[in-house]
Amino acid sequence: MLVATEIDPEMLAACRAGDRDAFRDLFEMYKDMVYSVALRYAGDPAAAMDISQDVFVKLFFQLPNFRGESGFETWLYRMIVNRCLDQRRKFSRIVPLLADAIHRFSVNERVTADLIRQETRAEIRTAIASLPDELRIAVVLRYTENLSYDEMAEAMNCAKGTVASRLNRAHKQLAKRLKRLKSKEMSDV
Amino acid sequence: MSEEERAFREVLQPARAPESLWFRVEAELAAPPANRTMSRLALVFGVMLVAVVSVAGYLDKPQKAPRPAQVSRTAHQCLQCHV
Repeated sequence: MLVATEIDPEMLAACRAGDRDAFRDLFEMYKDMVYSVALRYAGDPAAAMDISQDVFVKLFFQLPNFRGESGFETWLYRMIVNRCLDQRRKFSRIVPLLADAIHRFSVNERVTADLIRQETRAEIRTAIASLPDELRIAVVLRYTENLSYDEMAEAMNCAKGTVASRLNRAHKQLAKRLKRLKSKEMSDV
Repeated sequence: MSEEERAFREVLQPARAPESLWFRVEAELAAPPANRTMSRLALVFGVMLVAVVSVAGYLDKPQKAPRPAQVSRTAHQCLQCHV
């Protein structure tokens, strides 16, 4: 979610001047936010680490170019969104297969009620992983970061109406996908 | 909030970044800046080399003589073929 505290201008100035200690403080403020979006988008801790690392390294080198035209968090969100979309383009062929394999594995492993709950989560994750990139990032910003439509529009660099439309399409696709998974499961029993 | 939204929030809840993330970022930042500069220089040099080789190759290529224009399709009038 958006960090409630305003970023300290002095800290920002020190980071822009290349101060590593100040950058460490900035990292501590935003590390969970960056990692959460990356993890929920990519669905894989290793990929999330790669994305987060790249975002912070880029942030360090791009900070001198930050002019403050938009809020710092918005600027950072935009950087994360762009890096996430790049990541997906690289692995677009591998991830759906992997997600499918994980789903099959979890279906075969169900034993207790707890596992069934985990399986439901896995189904939702699989359904989210199957969404097109731009719909998935909208869902992650909405449900992981709890961003408003205005904040999402700024982070995704699009109109508010586009955000609403993408979320609407994402909900429809998720509902359809989850319904299909459920009916498939019922026919397997 | 609907049941569906609650489920999405639960699955997509924020996570804590592992401690090792900072070490990875720090290691990347500590990498000598020369590496970045050198890789950019190498890229620029490579592009320039390809451009120079392409231009040189084009200029060295012997120019083909223009095809003789066929004045007429009739054998009697074509002086190139029927001298």
